[in-house]
Amino acid sequence: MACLTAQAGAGLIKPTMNRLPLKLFLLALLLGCTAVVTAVVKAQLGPRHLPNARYLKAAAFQDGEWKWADAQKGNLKGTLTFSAKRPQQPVVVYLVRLGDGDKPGEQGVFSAPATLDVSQKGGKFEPSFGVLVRKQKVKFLNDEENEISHNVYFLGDIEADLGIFDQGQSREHEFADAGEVSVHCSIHKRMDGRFFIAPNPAFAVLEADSDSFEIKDVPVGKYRLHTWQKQKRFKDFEATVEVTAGGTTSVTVEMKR
Amino acid sequence: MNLQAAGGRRRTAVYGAALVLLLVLGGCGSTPNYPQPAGDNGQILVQLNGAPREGAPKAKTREVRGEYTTGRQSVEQGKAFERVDYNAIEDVVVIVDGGGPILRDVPNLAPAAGEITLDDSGFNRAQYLARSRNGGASFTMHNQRKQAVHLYGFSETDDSFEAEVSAGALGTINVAKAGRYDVYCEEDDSLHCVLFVSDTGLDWIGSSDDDAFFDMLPPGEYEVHVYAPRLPVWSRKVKVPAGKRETLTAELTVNNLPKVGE
Repeated sequence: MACLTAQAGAGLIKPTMNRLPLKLFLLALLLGCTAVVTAVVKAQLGPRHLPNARYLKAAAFQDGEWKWADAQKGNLKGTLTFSAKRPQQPVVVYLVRLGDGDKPGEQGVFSAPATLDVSQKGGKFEPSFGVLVRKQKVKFLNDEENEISHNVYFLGDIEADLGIFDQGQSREHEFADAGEVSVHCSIHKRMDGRFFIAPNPAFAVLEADSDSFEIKDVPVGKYRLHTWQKQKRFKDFEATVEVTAGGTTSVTVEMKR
Repeated sequence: MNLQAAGGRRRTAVYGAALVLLLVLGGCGSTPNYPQPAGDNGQILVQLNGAPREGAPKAKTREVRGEYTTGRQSVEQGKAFERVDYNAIEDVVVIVDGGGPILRDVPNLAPAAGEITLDDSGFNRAQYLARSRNGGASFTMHNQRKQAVHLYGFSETDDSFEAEVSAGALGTINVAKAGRYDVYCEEDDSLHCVLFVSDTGLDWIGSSDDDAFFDMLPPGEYEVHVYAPRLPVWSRKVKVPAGKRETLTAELTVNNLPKVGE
């Protein structure tokens, strides 16, 4: 009797065992169909829409019609004075062209300088600091000697994520607007850099050993002069300056607390 | 013995054991028990959720042959390739704003900021927090270097401070106004940290594997700001009803940034 029950039990179990490969087959079929449908939908939708970088505090400047190459030009020179010890760090002096009502106006059409190449070898950005101009491109190259992936993202006035790229790959980005960005890798905790993007080519970078500057070939007009410090120690300075045809305008930039 | 019945009992036992295991595991990972809101007071619980960037690969490994053994080691060797641990992001600062002047009377809810220590490897934290007393705050700094350091800090609203701390000495950094200060060092341009001086009475500093819990809040509208080093600031407005707890999850990640390079 016990034997009969066992046989009956075995009989009951057997069909279940036979259904297992069928279930696996159906599961594989379902997964295959899902993959095919996903691929078709992706193909129909085309390439994924890429959003623009998020410009937070970055100023949105207009170019206008006029061209730097065709404009009458003058020069601007100046001296920086510091109310306390000068930081042993670069200071940037830059101009914003003013329009009606002394508000930022059209900055003009200019040729962007060459792309700034940034290496990522050894897990660090090189250069880790740079001053760029609006519309200039920066190219991050993963030139690691080993199979190491990097990511690049910006925080600050401009926020964006350039993606993850493997050894030998690179990513380019064009800064559409001016501002300050810190550059990081989301994978490696010590990969940091910093860029300042000037609104137009009228700027000067004063290294730690320099307190004077000259900006040549500035299109004639009224400008607001600003400063930006890599490591801020003084209040940033602002003044309105006028550049005249063939002339040289002088200015004293007072850096105070 | 009926084999079907025996199989059924075994399955029931297995499912039961799995359920108990799930409950135990679930209990281990759940939120700690915070006190329930008392009376008309409300609460804000900020759960910090660090997440690595989507698609970030694990470090590749290569075969390394020793004299007697062969093993694999990461190709990412050295300090430069130290990875961000998104499970425990250190020095996260949470500041809650709003609720009116009554908040100044709320007892100290957050742990006090530890002293700033500077040694040859740098500052011991990326961010520090102190609560404002009479408008300003003080930090104690231990300079473990063999040379004096000059520190200077500037806030977004152009408030500033400077301090000099002798070699091997304890010094005081006085910050006159509340704000977020980027701090640099004259003698070492690679040094950087951030000091937060909070005047809202509701502040917290800790690791992302912990929660920021704010109790005894008068009902009203609040704004929660979460500052994690090297990550976008996370902010939310929240309405706290009387006698209720509002739970927020702060995403500490770059995944919400606009993706422009893929």
